[in-house]
Amino acid sequence: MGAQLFELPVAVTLRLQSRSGRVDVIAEPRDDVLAEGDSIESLVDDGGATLRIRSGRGNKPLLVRCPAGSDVTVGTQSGPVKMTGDFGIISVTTASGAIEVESADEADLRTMSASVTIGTCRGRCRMNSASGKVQAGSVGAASAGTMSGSIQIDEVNGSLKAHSVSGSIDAACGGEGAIAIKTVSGKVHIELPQGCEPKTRFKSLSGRIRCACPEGTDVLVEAMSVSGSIDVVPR
Amino acid sequence: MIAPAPVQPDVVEGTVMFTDIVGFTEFNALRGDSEAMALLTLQDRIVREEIGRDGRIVKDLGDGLMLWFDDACAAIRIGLRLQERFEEESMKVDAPLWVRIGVHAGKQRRRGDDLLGHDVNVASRIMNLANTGEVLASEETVRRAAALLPDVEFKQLGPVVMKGIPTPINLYRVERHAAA
Repeated sequence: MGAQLFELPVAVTLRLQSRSGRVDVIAEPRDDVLAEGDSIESLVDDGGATLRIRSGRGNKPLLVRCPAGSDVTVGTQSGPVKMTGDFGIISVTTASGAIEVESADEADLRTMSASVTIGTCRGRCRMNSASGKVQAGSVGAASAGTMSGSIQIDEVNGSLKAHSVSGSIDAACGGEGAIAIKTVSGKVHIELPQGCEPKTRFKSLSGRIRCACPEGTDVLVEAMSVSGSIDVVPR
Repeated sequence: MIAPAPVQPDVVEGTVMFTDIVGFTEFNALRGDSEAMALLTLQDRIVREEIGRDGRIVKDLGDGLMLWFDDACAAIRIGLRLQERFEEESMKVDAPLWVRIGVHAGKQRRRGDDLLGHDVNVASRIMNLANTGEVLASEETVRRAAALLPDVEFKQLGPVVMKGIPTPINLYRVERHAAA
């Protein structure tokens, strides 16, 4: 296992890449970037603004320690990605590797079949897994999609756009942004704050759509379902 | 004497787009063949209206289409326009025309009216990573189109390692500028 230390200007963007090896990224109080792994290839690009790190072939793990608040993009095929600490703008894409993020300013997390988990995202959070579970703690504006997996968001503090084919969607919204839900046959459960009076636009071909909140103008809730049930309820 | 028809080159250079109706199989199972056919017809009509002479439908893939454009700008512009039309029509007729789109510029090998090759496969893989309502494009597409599309924003998703594709592809999420 080799290690490389990069002394870099502040606000460098990291672009990490691995095929099947695990990728661990730790954001912590430091000024440099330390990468550990086998056969690491690196390149400083964009006039010093970007550091690209690629782990060698095979399933060897890659560990990167970077300054807190760093912007990071990670791409793997089957390797899982774990990001610990507080990041800036992040983007993680995998085919079958699970994605786990502790905290970020903005996030775009997508995978074909694995799970996506994020603790906190202060800004817009995009999450997409075809068949895996999508789970988020507290997020700003959220956009989430799944085919057969499930989506669960504990706290949405902005707008919410969620889409599923057969998967369930469960989200608690703060009533601070428009909510748009689309599902073919999934079960959708949206919670709004007590006293929130949403303006609703529901369309359903055969599914049941129910809003237990009094109609008003506080927040727009749009929902469309083919056969899935959609419930909007006060928290 | 009639001049021989010009020989069509075997390899063409252009931009391939894949569209896919998300949840089509489930919709078909729930609502039956007639409504499923109507959904496909709706997608087909919108695509034909929007591509005009800028591109062509290479083939019908069941719940999606493969399109080809000789110009990457046209592919991006039309991809965004298609998503807007799909959304409008979906709301208008209460049909789940929820589509994802992947775009990749490169070289394609002609086989009759069909197009084959690595760059076609890459476009298909890109589409698989798109969310409903999204247009995703490869770096090569963005390189050819970005400077000519000031009203379009390309947000980098980073290096994406795709199954069966040896080299990671830098992907971008394509959106209209908020102010546009």
